[in-house]
Amino acid sequence: MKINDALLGALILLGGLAILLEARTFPATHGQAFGPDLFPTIIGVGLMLAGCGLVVSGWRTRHVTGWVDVSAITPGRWLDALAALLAVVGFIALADWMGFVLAGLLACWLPMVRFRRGHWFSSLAIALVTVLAIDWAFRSVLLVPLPQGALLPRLPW
Amino acid sequence: MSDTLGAAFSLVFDPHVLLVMLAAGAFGLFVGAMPGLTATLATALLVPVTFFMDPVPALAAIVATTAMAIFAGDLPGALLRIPGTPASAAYVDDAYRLTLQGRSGLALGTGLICSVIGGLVGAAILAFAAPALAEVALAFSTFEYFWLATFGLTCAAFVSTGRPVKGFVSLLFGLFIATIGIDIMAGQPRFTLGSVELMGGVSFIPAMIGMFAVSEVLRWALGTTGGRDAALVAQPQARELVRPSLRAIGRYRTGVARGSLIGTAIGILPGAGADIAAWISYAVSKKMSKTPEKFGTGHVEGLVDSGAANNASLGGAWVPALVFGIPGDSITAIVIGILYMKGMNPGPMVMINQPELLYAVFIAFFVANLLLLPLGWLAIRSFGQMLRVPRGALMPVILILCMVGAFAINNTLFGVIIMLVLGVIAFVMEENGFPVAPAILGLVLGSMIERNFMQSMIKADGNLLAFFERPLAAAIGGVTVAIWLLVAVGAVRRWRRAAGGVTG
Repeated sequence: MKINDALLGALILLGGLAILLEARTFPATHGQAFGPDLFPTIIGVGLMLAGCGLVVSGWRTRHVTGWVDVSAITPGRWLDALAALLAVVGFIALADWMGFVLAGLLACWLPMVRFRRGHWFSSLAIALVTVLAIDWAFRSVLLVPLPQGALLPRLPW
Repeated sequence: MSDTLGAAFSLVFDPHVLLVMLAAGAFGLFVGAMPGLTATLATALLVPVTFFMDPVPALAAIVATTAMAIFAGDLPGALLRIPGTPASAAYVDDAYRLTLQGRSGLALGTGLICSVIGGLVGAAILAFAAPALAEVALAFSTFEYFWLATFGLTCAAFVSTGRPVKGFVSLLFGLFIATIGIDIMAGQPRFTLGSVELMGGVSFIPAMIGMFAVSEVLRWALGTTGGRDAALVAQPQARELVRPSLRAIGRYRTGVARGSLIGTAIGILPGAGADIAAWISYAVSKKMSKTPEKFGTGHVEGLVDSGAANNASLGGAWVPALVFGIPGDSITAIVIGILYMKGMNPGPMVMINQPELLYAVFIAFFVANLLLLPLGWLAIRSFGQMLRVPRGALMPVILILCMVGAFAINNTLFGVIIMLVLGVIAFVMEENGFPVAPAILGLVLGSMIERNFMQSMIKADGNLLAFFERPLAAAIGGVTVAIWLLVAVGAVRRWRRAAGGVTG
């Protein structure tokens, strides 16, 4: 996924500007020459300068590189990446309610089915073993308080 | 001294620690041999497990995993022409051409033995340099630490691959992430967007899991790394594994020494790791060779140099990490995160308070590199089986391990959110030629630079010249400023040449 430097540069420029403006609102530390705004200001200015440089170089090469080049990625691959992202987003959204075991199972199983183009049952088996092993290792052995959720009782280990 | 060494030996030669190293080594070999999974990713995946270990087994596990993973990257490099980790990319053509000539045994045997030698040299230099440097570091004040961290960031931005301006952006991005949260000097909340969870700042472990592991899964899913489901074309040839390899190494023994030393030196330099070590040694080897025209055609000479260099850099990278708390590469950046989690602030005081711990790390390096010999041999023999694991089933498992790891840092789902956001950003960055290592260094060193700067300024009452008043500070500061000037002059020259090219 190649994005033209000019577009990224513009984004970096705006990001730098936002950091700079926000840093202007930090109060000075009484009696000190430098306050909490110093480093963010340097970072903001630096990002703006670099962003400008990228806009210029990207603009020069726009005829060669185009704006956004996604030709190497087939529609199926986009769905693969979407499946991976949705698995994480879904886990974040559902884990507290479903609990780690169910949310983790879905976040492992569904992308696996997508990546392997089928294999529903063997993927379910792999995902189930993975999630139960993690639940045992992390919750029982390492004492990580994984989300319990309201749907399933605590597993016996 | 001998007491400390004895204590360190008993810490490492504990059956539990040795077992952990063996398991970690097998894990490292597997991850390194899988195209698209890197040694840094292996370290990131180890993090949640190491949390709950004692410091010595935790550090020994990382040492063993990375030593094995860097070698294992040669396996798919030689047999499939897909480097298993970026550290094997420099010499992948030579290794693959050897395979095509039916000499994969020579390619892999040389790679294995050189990896072991390089790793041992790196470990030896680490064991001698770290204590010596720590003596010097004890005299450091905030002024020296400020310059040292700034020097580290400078190297990270300009030594990394790609255009310096992109390294610079990546660095600033990391520094920005480090400013998020309550400011250490004045208690001012910065860039928290009103979120209570961001007040405490962005924890580095979820950030690194995201930037190294989630971005890697995305890259695999979009198929931009190549070799998404590679099949083995040639079985490894065990025939030439030992004797011809030893003969080749004997012939190019200066190359082994050169690669090991260059690799260690590049490892010590902050921000540059095994991949850059391999590229530079390959280039040096070609330049010094009597037969440079053979490079890239299945010639073993470059393999000798760079095979030793990438493993040597691993030991080198621990030198600044342990002595100053400045990571030498992205793996040691994660290690520093783990050290902080365990309440051991890396720096010269560790050498005084817990010397046995440092000696244990050195010993673990030697043990790991010696273990590499038998384990690497087994890995060469069983590579075909490893490759049968379907990547489509592996990636979701990695993803779920990442989520649990990011969760376990503070036991909140907020860690998983940080992981996701930074993972996506790191993916976009790498796809567009922005190196990720400078961002990681910025993230790790940002608060160190700011804290030392502010404390120095309180001491010096706002006088900036104080940064050059102490001789050591002036020396490190002078070198750092000189690098900036050189880069700036170079950039202006390039720009003028480019402008001249457009008008003329």
